[in-house]
Amino acid sequence: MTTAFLSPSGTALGQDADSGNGFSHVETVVSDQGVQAYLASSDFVPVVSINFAFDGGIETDPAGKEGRANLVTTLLDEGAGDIRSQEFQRRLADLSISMRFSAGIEEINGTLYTTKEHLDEALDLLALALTEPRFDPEPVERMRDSVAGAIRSNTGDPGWIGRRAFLERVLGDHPFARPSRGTMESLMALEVDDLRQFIEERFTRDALTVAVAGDITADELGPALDRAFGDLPASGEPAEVPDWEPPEPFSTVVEWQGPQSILMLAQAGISRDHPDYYAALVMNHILGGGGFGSRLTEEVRERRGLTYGIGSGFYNTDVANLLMVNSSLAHGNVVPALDLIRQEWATMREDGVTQSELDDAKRYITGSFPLQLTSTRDLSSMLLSMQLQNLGEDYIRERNALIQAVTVEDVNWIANSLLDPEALSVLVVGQPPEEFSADETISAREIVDRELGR
Amino acid sequence: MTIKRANAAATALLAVATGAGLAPSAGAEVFRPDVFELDNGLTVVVVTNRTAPVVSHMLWYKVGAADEEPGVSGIAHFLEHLMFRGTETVPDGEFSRIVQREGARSNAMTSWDYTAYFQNVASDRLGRMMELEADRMANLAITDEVVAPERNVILEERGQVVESRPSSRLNEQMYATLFQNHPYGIPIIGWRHEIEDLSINDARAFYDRWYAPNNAVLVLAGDIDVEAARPLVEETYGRIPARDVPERTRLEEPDSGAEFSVTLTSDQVQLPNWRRFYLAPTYTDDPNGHAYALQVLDELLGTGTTSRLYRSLVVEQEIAVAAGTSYRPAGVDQGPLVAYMTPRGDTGMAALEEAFEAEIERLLTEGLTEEEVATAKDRLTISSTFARDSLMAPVYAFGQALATGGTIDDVERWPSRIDAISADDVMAAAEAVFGANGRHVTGYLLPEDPDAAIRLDEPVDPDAVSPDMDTEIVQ
Repeated sequence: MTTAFLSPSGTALGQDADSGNGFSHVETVVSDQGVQAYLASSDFVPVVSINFAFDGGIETDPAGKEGRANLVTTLLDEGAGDIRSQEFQRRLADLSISMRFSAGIEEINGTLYTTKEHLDEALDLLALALTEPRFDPEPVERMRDSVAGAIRSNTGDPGWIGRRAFLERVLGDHPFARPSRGTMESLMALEVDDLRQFIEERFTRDALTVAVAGDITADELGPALDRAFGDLPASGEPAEVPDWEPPEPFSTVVEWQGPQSILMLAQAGISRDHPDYYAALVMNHILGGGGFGSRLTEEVRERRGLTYGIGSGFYNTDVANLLMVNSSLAHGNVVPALDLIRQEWATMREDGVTQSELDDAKRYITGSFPLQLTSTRDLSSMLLSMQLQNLGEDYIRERNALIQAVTVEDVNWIANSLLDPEALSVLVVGQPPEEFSADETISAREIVDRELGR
Repeated sequence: MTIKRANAAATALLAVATGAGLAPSAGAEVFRPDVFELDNGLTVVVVTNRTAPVVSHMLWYKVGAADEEPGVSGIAHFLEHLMFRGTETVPDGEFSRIVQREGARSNAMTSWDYTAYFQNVASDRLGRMMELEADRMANLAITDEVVAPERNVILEERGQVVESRPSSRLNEQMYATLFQNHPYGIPIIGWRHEIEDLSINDARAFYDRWYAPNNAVLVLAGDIDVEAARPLVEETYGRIPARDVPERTRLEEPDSGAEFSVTLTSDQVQLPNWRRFYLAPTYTDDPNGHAYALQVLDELLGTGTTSRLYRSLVVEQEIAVAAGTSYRPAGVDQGPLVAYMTPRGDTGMAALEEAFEAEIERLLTEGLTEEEVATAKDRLTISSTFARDSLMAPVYAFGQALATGGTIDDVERWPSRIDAISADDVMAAAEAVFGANGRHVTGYLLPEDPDAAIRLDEPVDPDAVSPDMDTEIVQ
């Protein structure tokens, strides 16, 4: 199965003798042990990039043990098997192997980026990290303190305070609203047994998704997959996630002393697998997702100079889908900016878009797509997303046609059915002027004290 | 521009200003560029990379905030904003609209030493980007109507990226202390009271003075080769006549024998942080030839979790959760090598500083092993392989080098130059920067309520205290 990159003009790259360096196709490789991966092979630079994910991330943190998934990810490269923390780190550094782990809401993500020359050592270290992390006392306490510091640091960041308060109001007590690093109290409550339980339940082959790009062939990749992931248990605990009920629209002020206010708005969004997703994507690009040229930036920044930055975008998870707006601006600009946002919301809902706006947006979205694919790391990251979002092996080739197929009627229909200025929830972190009417005012201090367990 | 090493190894691949000649000499080791110069003096660098059907098109002007006249701080950056607001034939707003329509990612940035504009775009749309960029090099036509809103945008930007962030405010004051006379002491974005008074005439004067093809470097990287690039460049930039551009003259720093420190206390700070800026050579301003040795020193002393500082202060003594150094040697004049630490537990600033200084003392008195140096050199030179796996790495490497007085060879021969460094070279560089004749300023970032600090840290992230604030992210 060959997938060619399409350049915007429609010529298939990879079939052109002069562009033989390009990643010319995506294929699915299955190892002897049954580990499956998408592969895009290219020998342009002698490097290999692997992105992988295990289903079930922060959402699986037990109540009172928030921060568990995140703490695990800080410790996987701090010693494994017979290799202690500093030695493990030294081997990675000396061979210039980049091995990173992070905890997302719905999955644990990992990346491995290495020269082809050191691929085998890199795979061996990764296998050890996933199956036999040591969790020695020294690195556990060092990372616990490091995470504690990050929590403290966050509490001084109005953007973080805003996101915390906002997610709590939107998601209520749903696991998705949990603080990713935990609170000071829950972090201190974590024990090594909690961490071990997490990897036993989560790091299994049935929960694994893998994507590979770079200087490796399909024949070489099979054994490499088994080298990295073959020792993992076949199956574990599926991650159970409760349903979510959207809240009534709210208007909240989080009082915070600073030179600027942060403004966040949200309303119901659209799921990634909705048939009108691409129409919504194009609509949002025109409304506020496209930076310069998008209506929000033109009105609020360019014409009025009320802010340095404003944008809208979709927040998509398996349970909650939102359309959000973010901006930061002088306190006195909050009300005029809000009026403009609501006005643009209503205008888009009632009048939709013009053919030329649509053509411009489509040209941008299709033309900019290859900019996301300029390195092996970009590509392995894209191949992972394609699998997690069930987009199929041919997505890179098909994606621009999906965008091109969107019509003015499609956009206007989704704008009319999705957008609702009355349904916009608003949260301001800062000191908005008197005329901003909030149904709830809390102080940032409350949030901070709770996170820090004061 | 804060670029993390992991994302752009090529930040290390920047260069000295000792080479002659424009074209790479034999033995190019990294990007293997093609280079040519137009009759009007514009230098053009082309790096072919067919990974994706896109080109990065970036124009670098050899002028930045440190070339401003006294009293109009921020004018270089203000002009960078105004460059998007109209020419004789492209009305206000149209530039961004066209760039959007072409699916390009476009941005601009101002530093002390350069101002750069780029579009990353599908390769078949490159010609249009060149037309637009060349047009605004020659025909900027800003009006009074756009000046006030754009100045407000910049005041908002200053509010967002400096005034709302205690760490940035501290950095700003540390620069102002380290550089008492040299313009690196003045923030790139400008002082607020001077931004408020910037006028259309200030912007025009700066533009007329510095924006000329003979004061610029064009870098193209991606799905393009020199044969395809040359006619496009000739037809666009090639039509703009050269103009006299002044010499870049910078004020010199006076000698100073005092100890400097800056303390910033804020209730926004939940986590104390210690940092120190040492005055250090750059590739271009390196009278005693220490820059490459300092890169090796930065690697073994303060980069990553196996560095001397991290091992001693974080792992062994358990008094810090973060410790490291950050050094970027691209610059017209000497700039800071940054050391930073975040205390752990109830460790106070004084104890932390003492432990840091003991570590530096140990380095200066007991020296280094050849093995330490060899390992650091290997880690650095391998980064040039990763740099080739990137669209933007060569663009930044060549742009920064050529805009700050370096050469193509400085980038291409960087691995060999690093490889030639000995332990003695590293010690000599360490003595020059950390020794008794060095100059530094120490910064303390403190919470309002020290009793509120229970446990302290920040993840190991050099960018968290990255001193440069020279990028504007125009979204």
